[in-house]
Amino acid sequence: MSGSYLVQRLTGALITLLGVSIFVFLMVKALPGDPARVIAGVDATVEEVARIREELKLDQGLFQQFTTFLGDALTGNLGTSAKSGNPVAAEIAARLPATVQLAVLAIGVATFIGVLFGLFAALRPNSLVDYSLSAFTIGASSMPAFWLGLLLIIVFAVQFQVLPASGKDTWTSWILPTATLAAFSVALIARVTRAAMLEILRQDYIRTARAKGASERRVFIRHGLRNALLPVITVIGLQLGQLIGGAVLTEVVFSWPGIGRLLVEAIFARDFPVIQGVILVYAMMIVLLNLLVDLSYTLLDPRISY
Amino acid sequence: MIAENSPAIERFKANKASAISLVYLLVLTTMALLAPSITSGDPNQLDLGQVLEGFSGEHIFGTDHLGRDIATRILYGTRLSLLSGVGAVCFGLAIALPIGLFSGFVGGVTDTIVQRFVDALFAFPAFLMALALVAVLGAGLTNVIVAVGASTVPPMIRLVRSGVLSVKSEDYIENARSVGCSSSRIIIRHILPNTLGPIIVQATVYIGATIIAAAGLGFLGLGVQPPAAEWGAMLGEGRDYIFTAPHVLTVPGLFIFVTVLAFNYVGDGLRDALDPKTTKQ
Amino acid sequence: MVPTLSIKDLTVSFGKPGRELLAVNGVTYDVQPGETLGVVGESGSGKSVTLLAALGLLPSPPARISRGSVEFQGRDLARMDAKKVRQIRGKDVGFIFQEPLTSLNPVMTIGDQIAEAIVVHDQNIGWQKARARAVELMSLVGMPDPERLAKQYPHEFSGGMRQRIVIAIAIANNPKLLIADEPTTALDVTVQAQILDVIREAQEKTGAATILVSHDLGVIAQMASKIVVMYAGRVMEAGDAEDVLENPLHPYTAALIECAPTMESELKDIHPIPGQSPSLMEMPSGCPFHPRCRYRQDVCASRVPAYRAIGSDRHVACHFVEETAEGGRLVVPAAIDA
Repeated sequence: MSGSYLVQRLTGALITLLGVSIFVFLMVKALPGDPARVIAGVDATVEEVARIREELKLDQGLFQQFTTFLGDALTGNLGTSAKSGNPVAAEIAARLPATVQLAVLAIGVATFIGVLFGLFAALRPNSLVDYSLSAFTIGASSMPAFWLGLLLIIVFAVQFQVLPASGKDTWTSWILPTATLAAFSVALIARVTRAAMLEILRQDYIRTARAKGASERRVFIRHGLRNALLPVITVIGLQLGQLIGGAVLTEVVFSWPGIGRLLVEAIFARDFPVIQGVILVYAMMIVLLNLLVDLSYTLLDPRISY
Repeated sequence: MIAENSPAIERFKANKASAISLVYLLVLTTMALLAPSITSGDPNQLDLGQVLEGFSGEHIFGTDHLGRDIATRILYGTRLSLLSGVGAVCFGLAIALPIGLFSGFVGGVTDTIVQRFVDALFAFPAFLMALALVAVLGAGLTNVIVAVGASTVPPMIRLVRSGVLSVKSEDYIENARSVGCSSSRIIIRHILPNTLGPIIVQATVYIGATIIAAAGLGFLGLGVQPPAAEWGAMLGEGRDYIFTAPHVLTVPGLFIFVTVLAFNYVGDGLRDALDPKTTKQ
Repeated sequence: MVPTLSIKDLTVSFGKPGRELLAVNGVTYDVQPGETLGVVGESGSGKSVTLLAALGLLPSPPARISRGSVEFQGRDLARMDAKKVRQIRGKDVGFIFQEPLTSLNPVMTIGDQIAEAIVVHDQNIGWQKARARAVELMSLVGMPDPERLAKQYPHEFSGGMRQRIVIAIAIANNPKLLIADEPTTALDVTVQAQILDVIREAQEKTGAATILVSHDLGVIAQMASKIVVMYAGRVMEAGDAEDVLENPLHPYTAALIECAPTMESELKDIHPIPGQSPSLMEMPSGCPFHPRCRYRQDVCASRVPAYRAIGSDRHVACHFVEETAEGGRLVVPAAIDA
């Protein structure tokens, strides 16, 4: 691979961010009526609307408006919530940790269980574990996250009453949201691990390792899994976006105090500054996580250089 | 496109799960289309004397919080859910087709730029994109189709482009070029007819995902508006009764799940049948 | 003298019992301490499979040893616990493989890959000492600046260099037996001679018996003191290298020598053997070589020729070889040469 790998990824990340910013900026323009009124909210006074028009330079050209918007966003000024009157940045900051924690936990759990599951399936192809994996995979990809969440609530909170149905108060309230969010990724990661392991166990260097007299465990972990991790990491990277998108519904189902629920509430309240801010923050989060994945990739594979 | 009793059709038939799924989807679609003749019930008929009833002979899936018959609502909801899922894929394809055809055919810098943008959009979650669009467009069936459909555009462009690239270097394209056909003529008369079939088949793989996305919007209350019976909206409306009458949630969810499962099996089956190389061992 | 490796009537089959295919069928040969044995044959002749199966390197299932024995210094590997075989593999038996480009783990430094061969057989040595030993081994196989190169990854090396690394792994524990499976086939002609030299030196340093597997008679002729000729999973002929090359008894050996390009030969002088070697699925009846044999008779298609001794140190599997005072010769009613 070329030395411009990281440069290429960084450009991609910038394009993503720029694209999302343009989209978010144009969002309010696409709405019928005066953008200043849209941003200020339905209950705003005439003075407030005038102040916003002044602040966002709405009487100037579109490009001028966009640079103002981008400049504000880059300096952390995401505007004022039309509903609460608080700075959007502060509202998001209050809710962001819950979302990040849940996402990171779910990715971690999904990776751990998925890799383990895939490893067992690869060890014994066409065994019961292997068959249940393929059933689980197609099942999980057909399962709407919100329905899975509701089912888990029905079973564990309603029937057996062992886990809370909502909130974020005790450690037990983390279990169901994490399981809901991780389920789909577990299946996918397991399937990729299995395929990658089976492919890698056929490689010549596995035979070399056996010819050295390395134990089967060593062959599997040190030579097999270590190499299988590369495609697995790629898939985790591709998964991140989907997982974070799915997190919106998971947060709503479990009344999780994250930015996903904030977004849905804002859509209902037609609170556009908050909608814009949350979407920008999501884009930022995804770009950052993807860069992190890319970075770990370059650490894991000596063939890739910066 | 596909000849009678071609190996592709044989392969599809041999895949039991796909064949069963196809039958299920055909039955489901037929029932949805014939809903008024199958049941005399009205999906929005209230009966406040019989709210949140369990399964019975009269109401095989029970009733919801307003006493409406869940089975009838499921039946009518099939129309909306299938329509939004299939409609979104069609919409996405309609947007992606010209872009993908052009980008793949022209190649070079244009193609690279388009691909970079597609890659960049790929990183942004489809469901968030759909949510943002609904925030602008507002709720309702058409808007859901547009919003979910637009979120499928990046993968669809990739799909169309790879279809174009696979035929671009074929001899008949070279011939058409050498006899002086214009680019637009080559695209419309030669490339499109030869790639459209496989592209449409591949696109079915996305129907499952668009049904889930549309139902997700419905669940949030941002999709098809009440009192319309849509599977996701039924789940959303039933949420408050999770502790007292869970069947108002399990039944519509089960239908979403099974239907999406069927679309995924059919999509996989079609893909494997058309391209044996990708078949799992 | 106890042979280093003694293979007797080894039969390796693939697939389920009843419907199995024989990749190796009743192969017998042995190699003495310090000796170099060349195993020659076309691809698919079972020459590699014999050795991979003997040391438990074939995935099982589908492969299994269905008959025969493999004695390494008097101990039968075919009936030994897999764990015990593993303790011999890499310690007493070193392997060199055909594909240097893919035989090394891409995400492990080459120093560690060599050191690993030492560590897995000696729990007490520790990685630090093993790595130091790996550096010594690297200079032994002729790698410049081993200290620095040990920290690099396989993709940074050429095919010839990687093959040197594989050789270093193979001799890491001073093995009693070195098995080189087409060690130069994947390499440039210019590098081939160097690698053969490295193998020869490694063998001298360790005093190991060596089995060199190749389809290239030229390579075998350079290196081996004894030759085994294999075809379709069977041994056709075996004996002292000089004898076999100068006076081939089996028609297949003769044909093989005839079609081998030498320095002096021109393209028109090379006579490829007509036909193709049989697949496992469609093994001919009788002698497996008879469809391509220019001397074939009716009996060749109906009876498998016995693998028998001719003279003191020669074995051959052909109905028409007779023992004579000079060793042996082929006696056939009439050649059906085209």
